[in-house]
Amino acid sequence: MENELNNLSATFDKDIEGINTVKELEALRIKYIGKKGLISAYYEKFGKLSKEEKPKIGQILNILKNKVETKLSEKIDGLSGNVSLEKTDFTMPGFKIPAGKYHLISQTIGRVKEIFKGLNFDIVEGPEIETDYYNFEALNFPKHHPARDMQDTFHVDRDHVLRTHTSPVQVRTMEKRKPPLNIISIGKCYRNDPLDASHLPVFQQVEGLMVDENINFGDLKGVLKIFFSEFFQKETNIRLNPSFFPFTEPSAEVSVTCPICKTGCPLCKKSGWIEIFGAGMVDPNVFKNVNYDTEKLTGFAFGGGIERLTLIKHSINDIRLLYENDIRFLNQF
Amino acid sequence: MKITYNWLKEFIDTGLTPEELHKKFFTLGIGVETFEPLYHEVTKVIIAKLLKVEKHPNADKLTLCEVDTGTEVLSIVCGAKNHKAGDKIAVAVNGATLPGGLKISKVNLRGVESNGMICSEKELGLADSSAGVMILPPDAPVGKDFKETYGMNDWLYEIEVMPNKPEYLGIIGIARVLSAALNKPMKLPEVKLIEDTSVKTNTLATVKIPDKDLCPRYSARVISGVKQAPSPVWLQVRLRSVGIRAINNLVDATNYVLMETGHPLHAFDYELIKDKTIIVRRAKENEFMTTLDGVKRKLDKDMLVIADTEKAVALAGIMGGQVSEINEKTVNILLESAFFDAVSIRKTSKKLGLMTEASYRFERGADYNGVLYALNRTAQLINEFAGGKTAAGYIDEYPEKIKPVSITTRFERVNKILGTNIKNQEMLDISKGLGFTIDKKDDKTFTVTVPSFRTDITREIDMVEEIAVIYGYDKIPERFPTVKLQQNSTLPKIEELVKQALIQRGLNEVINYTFMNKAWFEKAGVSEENPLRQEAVTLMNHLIEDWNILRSTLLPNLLNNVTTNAISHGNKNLKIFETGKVFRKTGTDYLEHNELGIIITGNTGESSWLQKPGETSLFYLKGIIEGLLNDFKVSFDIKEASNELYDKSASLELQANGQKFGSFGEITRKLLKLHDLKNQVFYAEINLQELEIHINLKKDYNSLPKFPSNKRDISFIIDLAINAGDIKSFIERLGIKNLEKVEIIDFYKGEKVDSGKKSVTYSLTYRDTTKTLTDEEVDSSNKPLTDKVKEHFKADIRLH
Repeated sequence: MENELNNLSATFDKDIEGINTVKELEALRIKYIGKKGLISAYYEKFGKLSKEEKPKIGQILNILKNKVETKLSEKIDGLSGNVSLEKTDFTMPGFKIPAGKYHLISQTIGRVKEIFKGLNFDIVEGPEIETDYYNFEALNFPKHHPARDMQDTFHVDRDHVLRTHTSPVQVRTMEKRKPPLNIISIGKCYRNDPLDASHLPVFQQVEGLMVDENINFGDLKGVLKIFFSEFFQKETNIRLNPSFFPFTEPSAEVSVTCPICKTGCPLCKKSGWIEIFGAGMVDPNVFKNVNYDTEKLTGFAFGGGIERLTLIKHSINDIRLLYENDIRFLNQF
Repeated sequence: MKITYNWLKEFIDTGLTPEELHKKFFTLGIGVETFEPLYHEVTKVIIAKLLKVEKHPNADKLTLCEVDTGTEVLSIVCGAKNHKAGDKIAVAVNGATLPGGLKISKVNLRGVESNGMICSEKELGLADSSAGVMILPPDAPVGKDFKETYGMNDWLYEIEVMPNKPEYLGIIGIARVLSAALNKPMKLPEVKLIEDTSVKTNTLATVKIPDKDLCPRYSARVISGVKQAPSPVWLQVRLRSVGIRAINNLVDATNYVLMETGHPLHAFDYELIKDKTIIVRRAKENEFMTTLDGVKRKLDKDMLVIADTEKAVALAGIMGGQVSEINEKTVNILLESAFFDAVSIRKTSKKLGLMTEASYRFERGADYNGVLYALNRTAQLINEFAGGKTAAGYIDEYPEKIKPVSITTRFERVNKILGTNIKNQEMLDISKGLGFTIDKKDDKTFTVTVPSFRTDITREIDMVEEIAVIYGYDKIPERFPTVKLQQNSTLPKIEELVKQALIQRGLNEVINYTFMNKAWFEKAGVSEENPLRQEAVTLMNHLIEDWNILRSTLLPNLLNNVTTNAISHGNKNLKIFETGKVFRKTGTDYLEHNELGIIITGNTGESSWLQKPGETSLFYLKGIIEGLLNDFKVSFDIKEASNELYDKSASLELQANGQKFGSFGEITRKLLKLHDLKNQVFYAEINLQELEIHINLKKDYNSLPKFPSNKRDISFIIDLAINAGDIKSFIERLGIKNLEKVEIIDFYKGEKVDSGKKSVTYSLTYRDTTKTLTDEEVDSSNKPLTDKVKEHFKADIRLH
């Protein structure tokens, strides 16, 4: 048996010389030390040996096995990096792992929420079918006032409309909660406007409200500056021009420095500024309607279209693309 | 509202260039929609005199004219008929450019050389159409440049006027705010009216106001002997610049004053007013009147009319009536300048669907003190342009004087709201500049009388805005507010969790409009009793017929998405979902809740050299739903239940605690056809509000097993009618010792089992949490399990 083992050892040495690939090496490993390998077979025979033979043969067998294992492992180190002589074509495409995506609008909403959560704003919601009271009257749009013409309204019945803005949520929240109040509301709004490249009859609005004892117009500017700088991921300046909304006084149209250019591009019509939000200090009449102390409390509100934010951020030129749900479009983002 | 740079300049010298003024408007909250130069391209149009008009030697319809341009005599061929020797005309000489860029050069017309063109109003950009060439007044200066002479070179601003700023509907109002902001004086045109002292207005006409609640003030003048003619050229140019068609010297005068003051006026033919009596009253129920636009209108008792003793002659503040209209025979006119109730005008205008320049201004609030200025200014212009005599004095029915608004403002309050340090004196100066009268002031407050043209100012907060605008929003310093931290709920809403779970499974989110077409239900085979159809919320007004109700199900729009992608873009493999509101009406209540809709069709994934994707199926969709519900630890049942949206053979309902919260199935062929689809489509909808009741978001740790499990796979041959799931539940209820889990892992039907039978393979996992189970122990549990299933379901064991 001793001779047999020595021969086996020599054969192994010869065999391993001719190995070029990991695959061949693995076959060699199985041949010698696999479960039913040549060397393994001797371990089975070992049990039947006499007491005298056992120590010696056992030692030879162990030395042989150790040698084989060592050489195999040395060999594999030498082979790695040169796994196969056969060249693989790595230009072939990889496995396609299907991935789902959030709609681009949802991605914008997610960003907006994240930024305001970071500023300790709470997210609140309200119904899309609103009463005339919450959509208009509580927001200081008297009945028969031309201000109502500013928002072409879908009516559900005499007292119910599809909300024309997210502002009713302000009122609903103030009715339930006492200041200080920092809230954001995002959701679908409706205007009876014909569909074109920049108008949708259904759109999403983000609305913000901050009420406390010492909130002023400068705070509004500050919060908007933080928001837009963070949203566009670059230092953004804010410009407010006087405007009119029944529920704010003073009211402002908010423009931001064009996030794309410095000197003029089609987006900002070469002015360097883009009109983006409406804003203002909450009108005392609105506070009165929710029994807030108009002397002690002041607050600001702002709002704008999620779609517009999205178009500007991603340089999309037609708002309708957002609702076509063409998978080729959605997969770009 | 359109105004021009030069017209504005008559009221204020801003010292700004047209471009600077454009920018300034924005900082004052005067939004400019368009800003463009007017007639800047026009060159070499010269005022000339016609010396001779002769027939063209070779053409009957043409004339050969000799014109004197002051520097030369030109020979010009002209196709018009309304000109004669001696007329003053406008000639575009060789090298001239007309509005729109048309270039004029020497041409040969029927063998005769023509050195320029005699222009019509249309060619000069002053009218949309014209019958002949423009004949200029006899005093037009020959040799002068036409454009310079009549002030055509100008800049147009089209202003977006907010509903609270009726004062910007007149040039004077805009001049006033510029005056305050720029600290430059403003000049109003002086009204120099020469009255005919021989006759008094109040002997010529009477005004009675029975309904003074709707007409607080009515003033009138009578002008006799006017001569209708075209207005002076400069006035035609000016009206045309702001988009108003010049008609004649009477109409043009009222329009001119309307643009100047923002106050609407109306002129009646004096002779057509019965008994020379104006009665301002509510219309009678079912009273009829034909307005100037030729429409016969049915009135009601909430509408205000101007009437004489016999009939209504005008719809107050909105439009005149045909019966008293100025016509070509008119020589005597009654001029009205009144102040009407804004709400009444708005209601009538809405009810009749008739919005005019006048109603637009009255419903926003006119200036009750501006009534007389507008009246006198118009009378003056009519006398200037059309001659005639204005009777002495005027009628001014103003039974109850409107009390001006008085406001007290606290200096400190202004700075507190704005976050500024504006000095007291600056606030006073701003207020004065805007036309407010300071009645009282001390260290802390000041009290003003609000001028009648500022109907929007009623409260202290309004004064804050006035001061802020003139002070400049730009100068208000930015500040970052100090926030009192509040504990906000930051847990994602169920809608967010569901979206995330589906996106993780490779589905794409879509978002649709929330409208659908009521007719869809019928076409889709949804019966009238189906709540989706019966309880749908109808809109009172809608843009297009396809969108006449609010969606009660997400399905139609999702099917449209499939069609768009599959048919238009060749993308047949889709796994998409939407979450959003669906709406219902029950009784008088409107209900809305968030719903999830999932739609899948085509292959499960993309194919490539490595991948051969399978087709989607109801079980693919079922897998998505089961995965989603398991994520939220919902214990749910799936029951067969008919649903009109699904094929009868594949229609399922999702239940929890016996309550339905959703459904899924294969879309009916009828629906596929309706949406131009051919391939199978699978759809699921889940009411997220209902689902939320059943979810469990608690994440508790279950200790991982320390000892190995031991599995047995058994295939039972059973009748086709027996549900595989029933056997699974049966096994689970048996209470078999150490049985950890039962799974259905295979299904077979075919030649290897008898017909009418199927083979279902169950994998049974056994485990003891305290030790390793021996094969004998497992067998002793598995044996009774097998026996009981065999007995209960008359099942056989299939040997592999």
